[in-house]
Amino acid sequence: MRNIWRNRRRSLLAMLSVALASLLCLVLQGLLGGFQESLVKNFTKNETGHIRVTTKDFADRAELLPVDAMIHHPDQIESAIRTSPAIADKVRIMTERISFGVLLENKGLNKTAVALAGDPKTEESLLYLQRSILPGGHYIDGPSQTIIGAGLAEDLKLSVGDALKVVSEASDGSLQLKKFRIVGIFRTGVTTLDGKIFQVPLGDAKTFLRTEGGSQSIIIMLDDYHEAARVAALISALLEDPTLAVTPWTEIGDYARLIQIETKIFNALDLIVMFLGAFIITNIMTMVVLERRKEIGILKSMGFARGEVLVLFLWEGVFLGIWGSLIGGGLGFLLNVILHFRGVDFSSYFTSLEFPVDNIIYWTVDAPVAAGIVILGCVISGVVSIIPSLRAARMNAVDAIKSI
Amino acid sequence: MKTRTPRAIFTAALLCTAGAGTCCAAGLSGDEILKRMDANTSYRTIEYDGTLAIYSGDTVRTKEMKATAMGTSKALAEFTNPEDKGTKFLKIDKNLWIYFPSEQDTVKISGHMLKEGMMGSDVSYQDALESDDLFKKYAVTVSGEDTVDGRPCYVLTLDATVKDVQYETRKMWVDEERFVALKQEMHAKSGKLLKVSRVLEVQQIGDRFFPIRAEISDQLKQGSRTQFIMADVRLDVPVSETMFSLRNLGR
Repeated sequence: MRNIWRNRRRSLLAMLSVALASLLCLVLQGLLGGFQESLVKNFTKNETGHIRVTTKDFADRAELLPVDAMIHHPDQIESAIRTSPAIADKVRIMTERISFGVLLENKGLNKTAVALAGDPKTEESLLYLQRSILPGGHYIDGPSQTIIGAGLAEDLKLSVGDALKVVSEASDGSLQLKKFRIVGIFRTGVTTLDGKIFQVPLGDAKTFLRTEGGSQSIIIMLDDYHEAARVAALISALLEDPTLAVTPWTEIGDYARLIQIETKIFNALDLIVMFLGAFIITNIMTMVVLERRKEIGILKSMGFARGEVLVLFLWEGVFLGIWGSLIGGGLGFLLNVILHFRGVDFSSYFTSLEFPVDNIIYWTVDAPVAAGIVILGCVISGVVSIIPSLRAARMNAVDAIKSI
Repeated sequence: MKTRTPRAIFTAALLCTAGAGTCCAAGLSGDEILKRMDANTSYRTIEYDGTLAIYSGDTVRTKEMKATAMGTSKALAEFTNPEDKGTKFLKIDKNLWIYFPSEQDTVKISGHMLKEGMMGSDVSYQDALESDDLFKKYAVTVSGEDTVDGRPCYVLTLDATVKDVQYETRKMWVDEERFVALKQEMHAKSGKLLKVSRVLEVQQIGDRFFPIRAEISDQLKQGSRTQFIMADVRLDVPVSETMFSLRNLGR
């Protein structure tokens, strides 16, 4: 301890460097966590569910939203899942859904969009669009009604009460037009939802697309989305239908894989930042060893073994790292708690994003992650102290004393 | 007076000719080759029964229609296959409307939507709307000779001279004997190949050689191609101009 405070300013600088690195890592992890939670939440509830049951044909062409690859008896599949004791308990929401690309027209203006067709009642607990309906409108409560994103409404100059002309290819390949009455306009703050999506009742979509009762997908939301792969395997075994694809969200498209790759990249970045932050300890410890060569020589001539000298200097480096990590980790954790409740508005940056992400990101607060970063800071501080400590330990006592 | 017209609403992209010739090869300039092509496929009016076969992977969808066109700017196609029965496409100049009998209503296709494939085919609405304006938009050079399906062809290169074009460059293989564009490649500004069209069958109608079966494939859609077949082609028949009106669509 006495050695550490011999040069306070230098020791504080080392601690500060490690503290800043720890703080940066923790705040970045909180941001990444919040960003990912937003992505996963929006991706699963809007598109894939935690588990998606479709035909294999649909799964192969899912990015095109084909309407000619329908599950013919979705009710039978739902019934089988609901009556399976091993699966039913884990399912929070299960609903049929059809998503299809359309052309919208109003007074000569055109726009492409995606129709989300589901049971309006169930979608209240899934899409939550009823919460974002602007004053003057209401949620779907009857057939041939629609709610549309505010961006779509602005682009097509549409208001509540207007007819929305929807052109789409039906499951038999024919081109069809249907007019829906706009009963509400929603603004969620998610650019891709507001500018591309409108919701219609499932029954209307089935008639419009001539599916003869068939549905494109059955969306399943679980109580715990981490169980998606396991429950998907159970459902697949239960249904025993080779024409069906039961897919957990983590295996749907490149998007889910991108989320997982992103986590690995951020973890690697954390490691690099911590190393850079702690590297100052190497410099400081090298200076310390050079300054204290005489002391090292005296200690060695008094009988201190190599190992004892090594531990002495190593401990000094680790001590700086521990305090730096604790201070940085503590401040980072506190900052994450604040940002978890307050959030940060990224709307100006996310405007052009095609990902379904909330404009306001709320940081995640994860105590094990915070503890992990503090430990990482300590370990890396120890690692970067090894070289100067070894140098001290290997010094010859006579040479060390003579060198001053 | 005869006017050079789009051969048919769906074949505009396949068969259109373009540009003002500037270079000479094999005795004929690009201009002259295009004029001979023009003469071959010009008509005042046309009526025919069309079949659109849209191939996507292993599946094929067939659509049938009765089509009528007048001049360069007016065309009407009414679908007759059971799934689309009564659906009509009306083209007047650069505007396109679709009439849906189920809703008895019309939708206008405009803006960037014109780049979308018609009825899920490889032919975009813009392809269908192309007309003689192409001549004003491209400069043509004769870049050599080649053979297509064993027939000797002039190879023409068409480079856009204006910004408002769907394809920056086109390469066209024109039958040296019959003056029919047997093959065409359409490229983006980056040089990327966007579409390829081929004439699969040519019929002699009177003293003209008329392409009656063609195929176009959108190179950006894997495994996709569209064949267009014309049957019972009648040229320069009396057609009432009133049939090309929005009012007439719902009748």
